[in-house]
Amino acid sequence: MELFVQQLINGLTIGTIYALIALGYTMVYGIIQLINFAHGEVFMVGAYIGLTAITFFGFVSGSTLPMAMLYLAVMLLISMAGSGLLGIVIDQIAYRPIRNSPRLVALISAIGVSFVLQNAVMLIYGPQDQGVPQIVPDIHFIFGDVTITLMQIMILAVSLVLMVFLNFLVQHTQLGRAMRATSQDHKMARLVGINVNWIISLTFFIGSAMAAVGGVLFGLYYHTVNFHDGYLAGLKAFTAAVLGGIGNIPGAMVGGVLIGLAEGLGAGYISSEWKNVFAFVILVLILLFKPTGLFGERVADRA
Amino acid sequence: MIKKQGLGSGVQGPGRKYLFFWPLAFGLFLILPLIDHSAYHQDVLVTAGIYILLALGLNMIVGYAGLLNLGYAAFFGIGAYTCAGLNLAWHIPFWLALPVAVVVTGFFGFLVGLPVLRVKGDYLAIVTLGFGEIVRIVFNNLDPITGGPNGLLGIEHPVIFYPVFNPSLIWKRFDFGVSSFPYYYLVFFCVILVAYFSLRLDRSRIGRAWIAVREDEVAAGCMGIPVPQVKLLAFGVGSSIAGIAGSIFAAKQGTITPDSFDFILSVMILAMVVLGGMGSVPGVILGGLVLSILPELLREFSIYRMLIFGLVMILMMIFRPQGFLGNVRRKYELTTR
Amino acid sequence: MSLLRVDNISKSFGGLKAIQNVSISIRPGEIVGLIGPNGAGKTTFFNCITGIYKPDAGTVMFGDYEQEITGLVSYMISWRGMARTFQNIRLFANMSVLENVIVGAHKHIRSSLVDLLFPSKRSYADEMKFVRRAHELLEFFGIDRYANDLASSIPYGSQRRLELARALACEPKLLLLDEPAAGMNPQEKQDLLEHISEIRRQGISILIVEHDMKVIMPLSDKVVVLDHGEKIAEGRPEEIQKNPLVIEAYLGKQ
Repeated sequence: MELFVQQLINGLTIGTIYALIALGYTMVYGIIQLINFAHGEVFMVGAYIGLTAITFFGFVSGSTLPMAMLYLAVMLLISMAGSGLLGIVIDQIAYRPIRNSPRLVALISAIGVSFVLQNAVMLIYGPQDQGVPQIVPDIHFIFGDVTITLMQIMILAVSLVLMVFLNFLVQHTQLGRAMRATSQDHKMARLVGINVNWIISLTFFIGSAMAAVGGVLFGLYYHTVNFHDGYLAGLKAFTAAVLGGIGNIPGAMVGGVLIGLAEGLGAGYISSEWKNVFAFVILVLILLFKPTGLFGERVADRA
Repeated sequence: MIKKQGLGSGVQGPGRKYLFFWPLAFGLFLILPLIDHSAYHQDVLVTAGIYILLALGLNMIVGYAGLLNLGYAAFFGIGAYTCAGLNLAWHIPFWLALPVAVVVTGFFGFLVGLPVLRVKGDYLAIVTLGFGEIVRIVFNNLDPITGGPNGLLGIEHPVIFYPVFNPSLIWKRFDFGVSSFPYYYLVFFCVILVAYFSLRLDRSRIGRAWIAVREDEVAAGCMGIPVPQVKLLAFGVGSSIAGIAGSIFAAKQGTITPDSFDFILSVMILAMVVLGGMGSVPGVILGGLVLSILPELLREFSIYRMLIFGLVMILMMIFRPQGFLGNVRRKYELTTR
Repeated sequence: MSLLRVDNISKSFGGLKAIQNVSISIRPGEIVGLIGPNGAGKTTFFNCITGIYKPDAGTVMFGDYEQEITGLVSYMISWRGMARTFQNIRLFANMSVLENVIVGAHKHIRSSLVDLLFPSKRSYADEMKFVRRAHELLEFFGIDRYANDLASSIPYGSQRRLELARALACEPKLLLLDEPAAGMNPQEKQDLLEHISEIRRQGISILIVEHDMKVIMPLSDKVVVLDHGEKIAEGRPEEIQKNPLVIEAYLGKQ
């Protein structure tokens, strides 16, 4: 039972990070029906930007909790802005010129972007793991055999706030209405006076910013980042997006948490060596037997 | 009066005036290791040949049948592990293990192809990617059979026997060993065979059915093409080619590890097909050759290699998505006899 | 005894009832015209018969022994002897004109993967038989000069004819034509009429959807009228022209 609860907490933590990344996949897919293969790298870049920011501001270990909060907020904001802009630039350079080309063309261009980002980061920071300083104080709350860290609570809290905010934005604001209209039909959206290109850029910005938050939290949680991290996390987050029904924002959140839980429990009860296989098995099974996902209506079948 | 016209005489490629190019290239590559004794050059070309085999196989799936596959390296791995496993477990010689590996790989291709009956486009690409990762993780973790992360080692090199009259007939044993020279001709022969097979496919009932399915699945179905079977066949046949490449790879290296069959390799092979020109056999061969030799030429800039590679992929997709030779019209040059 | 007998088929998409309880039958050698205003469900009806859609209800019987083909997938239906053309031309754009026709003969050609590695005289002769047949078909429609051009590069009217040639290469018993005259000039329409009559003389039955009454009326033995997914009339062309229900469907209530 303790193992179960512990793995539940661990799974939930990593799951919310997957969920943050999954939002970007699902939002971009919803708007332009593109699997933004480079999105995992945006997450990784987000982690590096956060790390750079904190190095730049010279974080001192052992500061007080309010000070740590301030640092975290600075990291998040800078990383979100940087990654958001990166998302827009990626779209402008690699996707916009081929908006109407066959799927394969966009997919390969996206893989190209992914290679460029990975290698650019490797060239700048080196291929080795980069240590991320302990910003959030290392406080453990122990209930019997179950431990929950302050960091885990922070991850859950930050993710929750952002997701509630995003949901509000999409469901209840003028901007959200424009985004939803654009995802239905570009031509009609244009006819009613929506600046479709602007909405697409905005979608890339928000999706990338969410991934950046995931990246910063990921780095703080594991204390290291590596230029390879984006690939696997990106694929798992993509699985989450598909699981929740691609194009469906709440679905991506639920999907992320489910993938995290499956991974946490699988690692706890089966074997941690096989940990990475669970997401892929779920991915393949979902695509085969319920390609619309749990909450989606769309199926990607345009070749 | 209908002219007698030959389908088999069709020419696909840059057209008649460049026809002399192919026999020339064939001749050059045939004698190359006899003039150029550099072991390094031969080694690079053997690797290039293995890549070209893979690209030709993937071309059947992606280029002809239009089915995205991002997990092709897995089949290369299955071929290599099958050949190596047969050799290590039962000392089955390369020449017997090769056909078995081809069949086994083809069978797995067929199995993985089953999803094509349900998913299309991007989703198919992701399913195959997921499968590729699963296979690699299985290789990595199924220690008793695959040797885990250390892989399999001590795979025997191919051996042939040839007759010598001295003065009576005796059979001499020749071990391929570690030098690239004999593998060069093995790979060369296989590339020629698979390229020939591909070109024949292109002009056959089966190849036409693949291309028709790629062009318009609904119309193909209405013209009596059994779409599900045709797609499965493309996956099976295309994957079995990776079995040839995998077997040669295992026999030459003597050692195989799971990380030789990763996602990057799948992408590299796909890039060869796409950059060369999907569906064009000469294009795919050229793509394979360029992408395997270029990194060697760029060795000084090796840390920028993948960065440049990524940039080239993006630029190609924007400015020439049809690839080097992809814009060549499919055309039957007809001969009147 | 009919070649095709459709009994009460229905198909809806979400809440939209595209066709409801439509029945028709076609006797061997007959040409049946299917008309109706835009959105009447003609193409949906075609798609239900040829296996692109599964009808929600009803049965489709086809062939000399009236076997049921309801819900079979399209290639199986094609193998039973039904071929079609499409309203918005669906050629294999990146294949040559000749290849497009040969694809139609797919199930008649016998060649295997082994023949590819070891070409045999037999498989070559077999293949050549269909190449010749394809040229004959192209010549019949007067487009053999395009044989080696890319299908997407030939003129529009010729593309329509190519679709017909491709369908005939399937050697069908029943040919379904979805607006074959759309976008053709009067001369091309005249040629089309002659071609269709010639096809019928070879014993092939035809079900034809068409807007142009100058095409439908002289050709059809029988005309079926659809409106809002329902059959509102059926009869000889001259009866249909006088039928008040049909006039109302086309012109609206007077």
